[in-house]
Amino acid sequence: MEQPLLEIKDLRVTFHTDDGTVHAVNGVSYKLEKGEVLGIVGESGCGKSVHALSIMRLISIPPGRIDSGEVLFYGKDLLKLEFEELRQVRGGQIAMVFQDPMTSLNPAYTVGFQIMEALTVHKKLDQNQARDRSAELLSLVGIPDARRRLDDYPHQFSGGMRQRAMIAMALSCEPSLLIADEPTTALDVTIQAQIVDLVKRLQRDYGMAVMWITHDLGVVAELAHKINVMYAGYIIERGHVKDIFKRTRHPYTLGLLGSLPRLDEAPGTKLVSIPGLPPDLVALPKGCPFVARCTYVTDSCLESMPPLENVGDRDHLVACWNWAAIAEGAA
Amino acid sequence: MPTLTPASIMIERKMTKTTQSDIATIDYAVREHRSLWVDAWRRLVSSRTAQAGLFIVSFLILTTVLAHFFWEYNPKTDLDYTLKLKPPTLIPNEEVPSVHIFGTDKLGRDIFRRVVHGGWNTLMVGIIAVTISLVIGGLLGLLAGFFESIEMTRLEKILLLVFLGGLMGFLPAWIAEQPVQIVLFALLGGAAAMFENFLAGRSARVVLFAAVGLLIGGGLALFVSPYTAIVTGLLGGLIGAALSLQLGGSLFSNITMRAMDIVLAFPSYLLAIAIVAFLGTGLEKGMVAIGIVSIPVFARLVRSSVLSVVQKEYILAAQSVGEGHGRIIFRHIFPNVLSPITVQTTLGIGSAILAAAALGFLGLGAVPPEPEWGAMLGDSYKYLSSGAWWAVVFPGVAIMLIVLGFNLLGDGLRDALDPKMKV
Amino acid sequence: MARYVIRRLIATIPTILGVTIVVFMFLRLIPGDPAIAMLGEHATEENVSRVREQFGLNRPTFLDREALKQGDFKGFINTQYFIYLGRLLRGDLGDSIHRRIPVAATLMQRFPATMELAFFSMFVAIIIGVPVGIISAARRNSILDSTTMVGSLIGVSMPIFWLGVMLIMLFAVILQWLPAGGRLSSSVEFTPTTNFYLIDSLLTFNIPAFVDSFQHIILPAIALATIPMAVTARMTRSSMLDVMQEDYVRTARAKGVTERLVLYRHALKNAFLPIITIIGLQFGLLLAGAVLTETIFSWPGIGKWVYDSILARDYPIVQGGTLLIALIFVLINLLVDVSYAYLDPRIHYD
Repeated sequence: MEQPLLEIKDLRVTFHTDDGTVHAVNGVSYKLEKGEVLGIVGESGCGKSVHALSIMRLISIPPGRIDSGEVLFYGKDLLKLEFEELRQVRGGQIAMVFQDPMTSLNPAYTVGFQIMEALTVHKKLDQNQARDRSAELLSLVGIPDARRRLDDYPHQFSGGMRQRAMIAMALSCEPSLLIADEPTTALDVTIQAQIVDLVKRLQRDYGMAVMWITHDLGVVAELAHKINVMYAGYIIERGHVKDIFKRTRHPYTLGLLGSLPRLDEAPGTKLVSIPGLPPDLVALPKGCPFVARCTYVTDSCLESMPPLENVGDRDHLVACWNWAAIAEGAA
Repeated sequence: MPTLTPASIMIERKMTKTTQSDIATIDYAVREHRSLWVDAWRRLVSSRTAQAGLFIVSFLILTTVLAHFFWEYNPKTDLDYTLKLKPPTLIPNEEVPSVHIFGTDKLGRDIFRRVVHGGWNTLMVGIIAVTISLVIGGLLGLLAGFFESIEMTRLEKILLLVFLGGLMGFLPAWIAEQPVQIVLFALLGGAAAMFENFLAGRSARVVLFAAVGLLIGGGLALFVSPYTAIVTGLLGGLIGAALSLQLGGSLFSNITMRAMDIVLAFPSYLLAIAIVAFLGTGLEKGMVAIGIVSIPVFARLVRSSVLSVVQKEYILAAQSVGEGHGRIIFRHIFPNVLSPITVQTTLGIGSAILAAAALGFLGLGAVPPEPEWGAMLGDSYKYLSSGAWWAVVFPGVAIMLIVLGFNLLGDGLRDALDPKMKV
Repeated sequence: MARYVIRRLIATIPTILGVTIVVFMFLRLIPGDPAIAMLGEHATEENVSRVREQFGLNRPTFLDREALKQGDFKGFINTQYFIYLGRLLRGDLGDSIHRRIPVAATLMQRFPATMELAFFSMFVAIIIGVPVGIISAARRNSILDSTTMVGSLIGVSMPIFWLGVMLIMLFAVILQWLPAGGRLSSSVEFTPTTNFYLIDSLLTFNIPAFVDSFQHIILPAIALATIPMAVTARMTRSSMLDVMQEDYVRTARAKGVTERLVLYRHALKNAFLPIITIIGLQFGLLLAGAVLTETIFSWPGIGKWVYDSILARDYPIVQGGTLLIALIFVLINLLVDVSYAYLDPRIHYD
C-alpha cells in the first residue's frame, strides 16, 4: 500500500495548569491520504484544535506538552524533526488557516507583505516576483482589485476578506496539506458558504489534502470524504461521510446528527439535544467519557474505555461497547 | 448481546456498586467552589515574589509599629558628641561604651535606633499620600469613566449643569461683587438641563440662553459700574450659550481629564519638590504634595479600567433590567476595577515612599531632628569622604527594602488578580 | 499627518496655559509676604520694593475689578498673572533675586548640560533595557529571565540619590577610577561652543577633553539610567509576552517564518506602542531625577541650579526651571503621540 500523506499514531497532549493536568488529546491515531478531505468534528474542548496545532508543534509549551505519539508526514516524524526542518514544513508543505480572521493577521503589516513573506521564506522569490504571485493569489481567492489591495492593512478588510487573505497566504506555497481550524465559525452564514465553496474549488484544482475542523456536521457533509468524530480527546467514530451519516454507530454521533436541523423532516419535529456537559478533562472518568450523557450505558461502559474497532467493510471505526446493539436498533 | 437500558434505570440498578455521588462526579465538572478573591489569595501566597514582598512588608511594618509604641525615643534630646560618627560596634569597648550595630551619626546618635523609628514616618507618608491620591483620583476616574460612556439620567444632568452653572457664574459674580449671580447661573444651568428638549438643536436656543445669561451677568452689575456690567454681561452671555448646548457626561470627563493632564505635565515628584519648596519644609506638607501629584495616576487608571468594564455586556444587561446608576457603579463596575486599583495602590505606596525620601534627602521633608530615612541620608552623605559609610548605607538599604517589598507585593498581586495571566 | 500634528499642537495649548498657571501659583503658596520670604527678614526697603515691582506684587493676582469699575480695561487685566504671562511670551522668566541676572539666559546656558546627561542616560537605558526585555520574554521563566526580573525590580526600588552616593563612594572614593563630580577636570583645556561637551569635543577632535568629559558622565548616567532601564526592560518583557500570545504570531509561526523574525518582525512592532509610551514617561521622570542626580554629582545643569535656588529661596529660578522641564515633558508626550501614528496603521489621524 502506498504511504499515506499523514499518519498520526497515539498522539497524547496535556496542558499543565494551576487546576491540574488537562488531558486534551488522549491517544489519537488515523491516516490521511493524499488529496483526501478529512472533516474533524466535535464540541468545543474536545481536542480537535489542539491535536491539529500539535501536528505542526504550534501549541505553546509550557503549559502544553506533547506526551507521546508520532506524526508521520511523508514518513517523517514531525514531532522529532529538527526545528529548521520543521520550519520548512510549516507553511511550505502544511499550511494552516485559523478560526478568527480578525486576530490572525498581523495588524502592523499590509496584507500583501504577509502573503509575500510566506513566498520569500519558502520559495526564495525576489520582491517583484513575490508581489506578482501575491496579487495572483488574492484574485484567485476572489478579492477584486487584488494588486491595489495588497497595500491595504488588515483592518481595511472585512472579516470574510481577511479569511480569504488567510487562505491565499496558506495556498501561496502550494502545500500538500491544508489544515483549516474552524475557518468559518467567526463568519456570517452567507460568507461561510462562500468560504466552503472556495476551499472546495481550490482543493480540486490543487489536489491537496484538507483537514477541516469544525463543530458543524452540516459543513463537512458537503466537503469531506471522511470524518473523524472526536469527544473528550478521543476519536470515537471515524469513517466515510456516508457511513457516518447513514450507518452511525456511536451514540454521541447519533446525538450530533439528531441536533442537526433538517429540511426534509415534518414541521414540528423537535431537534434532539445531547443532555449534560462534556466531562472535566482534568479528572476524566475511568470508563467511557460519554457515559454520563449516554442512553445506552452498560456495565462495561463504566469500567473501561472501549477501543476503536472496525465495524464495517471499509475503514469505519467506532469506540463503543454497544455499537452492535445500536446497529440493530437502527436497522 | 448486551441489554439496552435507559441510563436512569441503569443507575438505579447499579446503586449497590456505584453511589449517587460517583455518578455526579462523572456527570459534571464539579470542583470545589472558590470565590474570586479566595482564588486570588491562594495564587498570591503561592507565588515566590508575593511571598517575598509580604514577608518584607509585614516584617518592616511590625518592627516599626512595635518600636513606635514600645521603644521610647525622643529625637530632640538624643545626641552625644563623644560618640560622633562611630562605626558599627557590636561589643562595647573603651572608646564606644555602648552597642551600636549600625554605628552612630554626626551627632553621635544610634543609627539603628533612628532607622527603626524612621520607619514610622516613612509608612505614614506612604499611607497618607496614597490615600489622598486614591480617594480623590479614584472617585474622579470612576465618575469620568462612567459618565463618558453611559448616558446621564435627567436628574444627574440637572445636577451637573447646576454645578457647572454655579462654577462658571463664580467669575462674573466675583468681578461684579454680586454673589447672588452664582445662584442665578446655577438656576440657569438647571433650566438648560430641565428643558433640554425645548428648541433642541436650534440656534434660537443658544440665543435665548445667551440673552438670559447676559441679563443675569450685566443687569445686576449695572449698579456697580457700567464698565463692569459690559464685562460681566459678555461673560454671562457666553456662560448662557455654553449652558444651552446639550452638555452631557463626556463634558465632565473632559474637564476632569484635562485638569489631570496639567498635573501630569510635570514629571511626578518635580512638582512635589516645587510645591514643598514654596510651601516650606515639612513632612506633612510633603505627604500632601506627593498625594496631590499622584492623583492623575489613579484617575487615569480607574477611568480606563471603568471604560473597558463599561463596554462589557453584563453592564448592558444590568441597564436593560433597569438597575439604577448607583447600583451599577457599586455592584457591577466597582468590583471589576478593584484589582487594578489594588495593584496600583500597593505600587503607589512604594513610589510615595521613594518620593518622600527624595524630599527628605534634599532637605525638604522631615524637619531635623525628626528621624526619616531620606533626611538621614541627606544629613550624612557629606561625611562619606571621611569614611563614615554606615551613616549612609543603612538608611538607604532601609528605603530600598521597603520599596522593594511593596513592589514585589504589587507584582504578585498583579499576577494573582489578573485571571488573564492564569495559565 | 501634518494636520494631525497641528491639531495635536493646538490641543496642548490649554495644557501649557494650565502649566503656567500652576507655576505662577507657586508664589501664592509661600506663607506670608513673598518678597520678605525671598529676601529674608533683614531686607532693605529698596530691595523689597524692587522685588515687589518685579513680580507685580502690588497688583491683584488675576483680575483687577476695582480698575474695571473706573472703566480702566487695561488695568483690569494688568495683574500679576497676565504680567507674568506676557513676560513668558517674550521669553522673559524674570531675574534672579540674589544675583540679579536674567533667569532665561542662565537656564539656556545650563540646559545643554542637563540634556546631555538626560539623553546619554536614556540612550543607555534603552539600548540595555529593550533587548533585555525581549530576551527575557523570549526565554520566559528561564534563569536569565528570573534574574533580570528580580534585578529590574531592585532597580525600580532603588532610591537614585542613594545609588548615586554609593557609586561615588565605590568608584570615586575607594577605587578612584572615576571622578566624583563635575563635567570636566580643571586641568583639561577646552572651550565648548554649544555646551554639549561630548559632541563639542568630538567635533573639534579634542580627544583628551572627550575622554575626560566621558569619564565624568559615566557615574551620573548610571545613577540616572537605573530606573528607566529597569522600567523599560519590564515593560518590554510584559508587552512582548502579551503580543506573543496573539493569533497572528501563531500565524507567522505556521507560515514557517524563522523564530528570530517572529520575535523581531511580528511581535516587536506590535509590542512597541506601550514601550514608547513608557520611554516617554521615563524621560520626564529622568528630568525630575536630574534635580537629585545633578546635586549629588555637582553637575552644572538645570537640576542643580534649581536645588541651589530652593535653598537660597531664589524663587524665579525655581519657577523658570520647573516650567522649562514641564514644557519639555509636554513636548515629549506630543512626540510619543505622533510616533504612534507611524507605528500603528489602525490609528487614523485626520
